[in-house]
Amino acid sequence: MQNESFPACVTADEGIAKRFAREIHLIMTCHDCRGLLTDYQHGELDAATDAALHDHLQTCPSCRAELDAESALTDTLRSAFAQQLELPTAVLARVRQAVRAERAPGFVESVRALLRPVVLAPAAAVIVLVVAAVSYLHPAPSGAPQQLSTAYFVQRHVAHTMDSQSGDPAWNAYLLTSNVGGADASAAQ
Amino acid sequence: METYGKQTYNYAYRLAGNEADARDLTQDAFLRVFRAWRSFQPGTSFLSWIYRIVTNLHRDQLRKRKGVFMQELPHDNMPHELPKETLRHDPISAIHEKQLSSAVESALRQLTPDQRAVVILADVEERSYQEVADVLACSIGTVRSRLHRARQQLRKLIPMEREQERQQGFSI
Repeated sequence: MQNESFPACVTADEGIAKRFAREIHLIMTCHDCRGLLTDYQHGELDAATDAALHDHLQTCPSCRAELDAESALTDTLRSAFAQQLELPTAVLARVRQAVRAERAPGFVESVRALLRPVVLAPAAAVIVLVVAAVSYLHPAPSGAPQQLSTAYFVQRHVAHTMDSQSGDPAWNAYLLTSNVGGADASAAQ
Repeated sequence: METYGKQTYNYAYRLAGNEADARDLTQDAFLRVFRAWRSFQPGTSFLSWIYRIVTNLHRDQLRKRKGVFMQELPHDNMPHELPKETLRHDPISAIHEKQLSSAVESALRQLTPDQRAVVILADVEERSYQEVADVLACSIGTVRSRLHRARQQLRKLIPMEREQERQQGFSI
């Protein structure tokens, strides 16, 4: 519903707020006003109270003087802190150094980190899998282990030599006539 | 740190009133940010978070100093063992370091740490009551009453301090 006391461009809500503000203004005392001056100065009042206080200040010289004193205090504080300092590079360097020191763990911490179950369990599982795969692909030879003896090596040497042509007739005669290795050699084969 | 370092340092300087304490506060605040990075809630103001840390550190610092000054003298009349921070203080370099305007600084020093923080945030840094409440972890009503009380005190204290300064100037 449009309020007739306000121009058409003012919305209904704004009109109600202003009318409410005027009603507050009628009962706003200097005591009320001074209690709200800090909030007024900081723009922290709701629209209705702000308008009422504004209207009160137009008609009350003592409250206006109080507002001037509040503004002077704000100016004093702002000018005392007006200077903007640059962050010293020493502070930046010290923070970076401390952060780096905290990030790099010591030897004990590193070992302890490796022994955590989160790290240790998957590592153990991988090792077990690798061992299982290797033993599956390259199984150990079954049966009795091969017996190694002097006769075995002599037999091997003789077998190798017999394949090659030798120019020594005495050696050839020895090879043809001797029973090298005997029972040991046959067992080794 | 490049983004928020300067603002944090200036806030610490305004809170502490001298560069040496401001440096320590800024350094400690950023180290805490690094350590407690995971506790930061995304969507909230990062600067408010750092300011809150600086405010709490400053409060702790004042509490510790108060404790040091309140220590009793040893019975055997031996020299008092001061903390390392006190021993590092260099009076010559302290003269060259920047300090706040003495009348305003003396007046601010007479406020409680919380009142001082409210004045700096709301009046000097022009932050809204909601932002101040976020930094100090209190309600807007508390911010309003603290600011009102602090300003009332400052209006009495600053002229008194200026008068004292003027009298000291004449006596020299």
